[in-house]
Amino acid sequence: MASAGSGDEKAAAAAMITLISSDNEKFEVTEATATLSQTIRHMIEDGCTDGGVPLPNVTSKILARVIEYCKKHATAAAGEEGSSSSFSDAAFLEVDRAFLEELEEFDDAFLEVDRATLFDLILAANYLDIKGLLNLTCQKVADSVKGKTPEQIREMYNIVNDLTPEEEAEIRRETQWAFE
Amino acid sequence: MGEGRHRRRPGGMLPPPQIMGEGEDRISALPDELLHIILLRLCSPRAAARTSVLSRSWRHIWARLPRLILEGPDAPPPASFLDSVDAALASFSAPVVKELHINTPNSCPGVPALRVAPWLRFASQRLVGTLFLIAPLLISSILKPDVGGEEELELPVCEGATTIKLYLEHRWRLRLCPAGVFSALTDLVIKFCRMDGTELTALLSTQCPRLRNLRIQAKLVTLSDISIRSDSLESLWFHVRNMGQLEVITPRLEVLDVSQAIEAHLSAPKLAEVVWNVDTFDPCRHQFTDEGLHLRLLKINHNSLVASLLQRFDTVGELKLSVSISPEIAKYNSFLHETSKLPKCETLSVSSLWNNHGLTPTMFHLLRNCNSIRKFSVQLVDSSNPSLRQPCPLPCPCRLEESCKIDGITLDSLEEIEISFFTCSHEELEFLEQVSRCCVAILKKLVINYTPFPAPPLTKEACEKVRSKFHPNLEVEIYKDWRLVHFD
Repeated sequence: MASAGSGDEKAAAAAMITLISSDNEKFEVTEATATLSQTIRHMIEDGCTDGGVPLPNVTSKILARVIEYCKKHATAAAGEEGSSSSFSDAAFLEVDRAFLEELEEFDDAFLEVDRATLFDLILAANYLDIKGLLNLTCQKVADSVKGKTPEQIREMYNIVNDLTPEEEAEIRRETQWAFE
Repeated sequence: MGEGRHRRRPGGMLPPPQIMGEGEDRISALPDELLHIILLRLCSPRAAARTSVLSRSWRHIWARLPRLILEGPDAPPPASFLDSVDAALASFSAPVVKELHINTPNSCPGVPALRVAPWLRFASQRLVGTLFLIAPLLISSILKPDVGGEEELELPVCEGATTIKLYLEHRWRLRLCPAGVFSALTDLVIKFCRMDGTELTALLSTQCPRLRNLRIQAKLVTLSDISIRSDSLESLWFHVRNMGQLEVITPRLEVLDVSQAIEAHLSAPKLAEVVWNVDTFDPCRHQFTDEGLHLRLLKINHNSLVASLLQRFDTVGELKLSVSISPEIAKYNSFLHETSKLPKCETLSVSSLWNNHGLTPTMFHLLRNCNSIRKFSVQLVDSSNPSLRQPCPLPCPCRLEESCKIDGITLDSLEEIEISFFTCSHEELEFLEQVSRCCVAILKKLVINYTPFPAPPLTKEACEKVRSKFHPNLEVEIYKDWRLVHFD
């Protein structure tokens, strides 16, 4: 198993990619980090990353966070490739488990953001097509909604109820099974 | 989750982020596809459906989910589950559903087939993807599958379905339409129901042109022959009762797992793995015509009359034998006879369901006939249940001294031994000692998985006893609860 960072360093020798945020800030990242984004992966495959990759939908503040996520997870991916997880390899499993726990802690800490940042991260993850980050951030929203009444959800997310009382009653009738 | 998303280019579809105030409704502004991801991640069909009252824009978000998954801890309660499924399907407006997944709770009392039929019709109209239907698992229907009136359930043709998995009820008779084609279907599982042999033959031979993987566990309503002629089938798991002759003509078939076939005619030139659960193999009644002489895997779950099957192939990558010999002398002699010639194999894997006879003579009989193996894997008896261990009579051949003789056995290709459910009993240690005497320097590794069942605790002394049987350079790994044990 690679220790944190070594997978990244190996790739660094190979290629660096420049990402340019909507407010024109430049970020140098390794190809291994950048290609966690399928969008960027396709651009690299098509050979259109010379001179940097402009990302007009992502601010520098959000891009910095996204890169932080990708760096950590690119290392994890590099580690997974080199390890074996057959049933007899308990020693490897031990290491894998410790690493996965560390990754989980990282993800938990990463999600400690205000709601506006969370939605920006969701949009960025979707735009950049980073499946892991998209699932992580959407799960955070899903968890916040779990067990809440519609009234509580509206309040939490500033949703204005523009249904007439008749319409709302009708929808509740249609989905009565979900309210029982 | 993101299959539907297109490749995005910078400068593409989304507007640049706006500065949003504290009171902004960011969630409703998300595109539907992202709201769908969030709703599916609730893992609660009811919580997802409740969001339709949040506001006008939310009204149809739930109803257009790509997947309708009605299961899980927060599924509708058992008493109203059937009504809830009906209501959910009625208000579901997505024209195309990628996955319909209905898992009826076990506590749902006796579901009539006619309540399930409309769910299958829904799937036939809207599904483009996976259908997963689980009827309640009724213990009574497993114990007495023939009790209770038969009910018919029709499986309409689902042209868009790629995978269909139906776990039904033994008293249901699954009817198949003679017309129409499951044109996209690659994976089909049908379990726990009754079927008509002619309908099943028609389904498999003419109505599923792309079927690759098939698993069926069912009972035919009347004793009938089954014929499977398929150019696409790669894996066949066929456990069908009340079957006459089974004909399988499948040029691409690689994996066959079969039981209950009193008579079988097989033509499968690419066959690589065979799991044989039939208690005999009679070359007159079980005909393998176009198969080669080599298999990747041969697994035999009976050891009564299978000599001809073992001799049908010259070489096998992994040979897996389940050995459960009843205490009688005649049964032991029959075991010796049936396994007197084994194909040449790389890995020999033996599991003894319960061991009425001596471990060492039984295993050495197999090793004597299979001495070019590179890996030997043994799953021992579940020692926690002594009632399963009736000893064989005193004059049994397994008790003869010469049966334990290892003269002339040299396991000169053996590199690895793995023993599972080990308890460090006297008999097991004796067996290890004998094995070690037959091994030469090429043996690299011994893996012991200590039993997870109740047994004396694993001690340092026990580990040392195991070690002491082998050369000190041998790599010995001992696991307890899947973790490597260190005594330092």
